[in-house]
Amino acid sequence: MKIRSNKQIHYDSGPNTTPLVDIVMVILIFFMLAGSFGIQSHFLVSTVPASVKGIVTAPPPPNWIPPTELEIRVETQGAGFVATVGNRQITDKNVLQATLKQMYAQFPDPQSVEVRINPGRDVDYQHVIDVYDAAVGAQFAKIGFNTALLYR
Amino acid sequence: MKRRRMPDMKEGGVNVTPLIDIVMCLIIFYMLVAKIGVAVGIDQSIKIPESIQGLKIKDFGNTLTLNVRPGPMSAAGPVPQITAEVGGTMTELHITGATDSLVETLRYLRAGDPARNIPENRSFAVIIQGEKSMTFQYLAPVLIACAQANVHNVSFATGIPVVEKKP
Repeated sequence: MKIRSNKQIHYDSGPNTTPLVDIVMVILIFFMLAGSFGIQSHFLVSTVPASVKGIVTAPPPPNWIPPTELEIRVETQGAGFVATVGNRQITDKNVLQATLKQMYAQFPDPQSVEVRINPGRDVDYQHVIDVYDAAVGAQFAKIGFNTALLYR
Repeated sequence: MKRRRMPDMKEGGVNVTPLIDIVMCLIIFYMLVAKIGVAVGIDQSIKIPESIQGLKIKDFGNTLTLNVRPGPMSAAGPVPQITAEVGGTMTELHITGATDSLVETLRYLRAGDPARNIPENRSFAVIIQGEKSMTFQYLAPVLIACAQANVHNVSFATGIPVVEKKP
């Protein structure tokens, strides 16, 4: 019987990294599955409270000058909407944004103008957001809602 | 003179060093960027409207997300179904109600409540996660409640519109 000698070649070329790779892979898969990069990334921010008849949130400070208001009435028209700004009736979001941009340029102090969106009760939320989006796109800084049409 | 021979180089298997390098980089990236366990009460099943102009909110610490869906029509008018994560638990809030009303909840989160150990929060903001198919009559009571609770900072969660590819 042939006895094997101790002079066999060992194939180890360093520390055994197999457990390390296993653990690291598990951690990586955990992070990939459990992590979320952004909770929500897109918001239309309003700092103007809704204008509601009969509600006074805070008394105005002394020497308070009421802001210039630009009202946009929104009503449902078929599957879309019709926005009334001044004496113009607009059914397209891009046309509305262009019109509001023109109006923005005509105000002496456009940043102080409060845009009041006044939607009817049956107007889709998407169309309300479309009008809001157009007002933001026209560079208006103060955009809020009016609920007057709701209780007609 | 006896000449010594250099030992044979024997590879023990696949070289995993580059793999470990890349995997470690990925882990560090995920650890820094990923938000694990951050829940702000957003109902992901709600289909939100789309908008082009939109801002990012980085800090959700001072916000309360209201998930708003169209509800039943009562004698008093349309009743929106509102849920929010208040005090770590998902709660259904009502437009009218004694203990769990939306106005009262917003009021004590904004103005503070010593009994609940909640301090005044002047930068308190509300995020409305509304179903895009609902009509304004369901949204209006929420906006009115925000105005009543003196919450002036209201944001509307919107999605980025998908651009259709031209053939």
